[in-house]
Amino acid sequence: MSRPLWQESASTIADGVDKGTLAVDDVVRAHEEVAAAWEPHVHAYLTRVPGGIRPDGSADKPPGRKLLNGVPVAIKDNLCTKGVATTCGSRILEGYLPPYDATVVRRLKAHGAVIVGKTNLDEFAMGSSTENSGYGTSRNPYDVSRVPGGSSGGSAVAVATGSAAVALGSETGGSVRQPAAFTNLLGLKPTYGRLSRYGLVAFASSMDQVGIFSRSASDGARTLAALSGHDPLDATSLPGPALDFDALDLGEGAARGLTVGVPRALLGEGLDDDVAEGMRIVEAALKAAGATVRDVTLLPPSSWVATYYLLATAEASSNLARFDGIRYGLRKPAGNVLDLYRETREAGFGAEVKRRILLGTYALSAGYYEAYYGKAQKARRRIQQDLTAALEGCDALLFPTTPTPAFKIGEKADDPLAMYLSDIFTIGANLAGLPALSVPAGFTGGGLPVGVQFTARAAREDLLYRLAAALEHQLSDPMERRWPTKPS
Amino acid sequence: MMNPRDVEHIALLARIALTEAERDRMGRELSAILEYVKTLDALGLENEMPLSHVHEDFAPPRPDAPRLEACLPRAEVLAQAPEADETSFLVPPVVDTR
Repeated sequence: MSRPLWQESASTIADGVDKGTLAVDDVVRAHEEVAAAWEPHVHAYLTRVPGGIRPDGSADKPPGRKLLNGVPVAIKDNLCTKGVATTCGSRILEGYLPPYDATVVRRLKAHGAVIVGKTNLDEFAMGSSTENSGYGTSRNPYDVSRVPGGSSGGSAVAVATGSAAVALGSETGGSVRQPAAFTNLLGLKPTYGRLSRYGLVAFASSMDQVGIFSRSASDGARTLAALSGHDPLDATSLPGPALDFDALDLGEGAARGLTVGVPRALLGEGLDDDVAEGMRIVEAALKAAGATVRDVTLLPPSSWVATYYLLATAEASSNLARFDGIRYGLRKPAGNVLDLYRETREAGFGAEVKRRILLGTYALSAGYYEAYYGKAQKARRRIQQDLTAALEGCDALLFPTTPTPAFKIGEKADDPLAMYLSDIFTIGANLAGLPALSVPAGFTGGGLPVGVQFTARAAREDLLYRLAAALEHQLSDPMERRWPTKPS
Repeated sequence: MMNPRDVEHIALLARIALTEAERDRMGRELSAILEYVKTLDALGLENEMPLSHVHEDFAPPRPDAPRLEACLPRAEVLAQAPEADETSFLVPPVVDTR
């Protein structure tokens, strides 16, 4: 092998471990060295597990072959790991040790993966920069004065720097795709129901999905294949088997004959020049790969943001009622139950979580329900119909993941609305329940990554990874990627 | 728009204590967000049906039987509580019996 172990793909590691040419201990040690060197600069992890959480033999047997033998995986700290701290980036869950594993964690173990640690996030996945974490901000390895994106920022940093081969995050409004775009990665938001939410701490249950960070289409598709398939423990889990990785064609001709729709009107005002250039590069590469590109129209994405911030906060205000100082986490003792609740939640939640709980409570309260929550539910149907109609006659839609590359730490921290608008292009797929994949689209002159995303019909993640693979063949081999340089 | 009394009311509903400074700041920030969501009025949604779940044909009923594999050992669950005895979570009195 010509490159260090930590730069290897999940596929190469899994094949090497299967054949006995690679030792899991060596693989884990190589990734731990990278984490140790980068952590002081980027703060990707909230908990690192020395030696990793290894499959212990009690794991379920996967239906097919093991797809992730020995592969180091980092997971967002809102996924429950039995006996390993799970904080959701919140002080209210400091010291919480879940008594069970999330289904996706069990499936990682069943496929032989090694969980190297739990990654930083905006508190309860509410944010776009990790600045809302109760445990400090993660930093973008391509420029440590900038955010890595969020809320799954720590997972993005782990894969971008090479301390994990792949990572899990979660999405409610773009929390995997946006950090992937900011850190030169692929970030998948699967179809709603594709990956089990059992053991994912709930934010907005009608949109929450576990997502996947990878450095190549092949690694992402392999991870999706390992984790997907119906889960009886999640009532919203899609029926049917897992994605069949071995049947997926990720070769040079993977995009031949596919049609990609571009909502041209979205590319107007407010779009950074480098992001517009990324769109041009990707469109040209798709045509060179044998795909057809045509224009489509969509509703203005400002309606996505408005709808999302009413529905997501309403659901959050209900879901986060469970953090009350009774069953787990922080308790501020008080003389009566009402004061115990109020003081525990005052002390345990950060400003953004409080803001969203209050907004959601307002949107659901008597006298305002129809004007806010009810209206947003109607808008959600209109948005779903709009995206579905745009996908008629196309295999996927293509538009930017974010309006700009990674912004500076602190730049939007005092303006909640400006922060919300950094998710303007990602939210549609969450509202409509459709799968979407952010892919690398080059760098700015200043060396910051740029991303664009594909959106497909429900359960067609295969098309997303085929398009991503075709771009890799046209543009740049992911194994020869531009790695970030560690500050001295 | 949200005045300080509105903020206080929803903070009580949400069981969150707020300082006066927090209350004023939240009122300003939430008002700005509520102003922004007025953009939905342009969509003309009066006759639209609300959507609460993206796959309305999914989530089928399941057999009415306990899922033993999802049941957790009581002692492990109680071990995570701020205060518990062998069988129960402990809370302050709900009814004042003085």
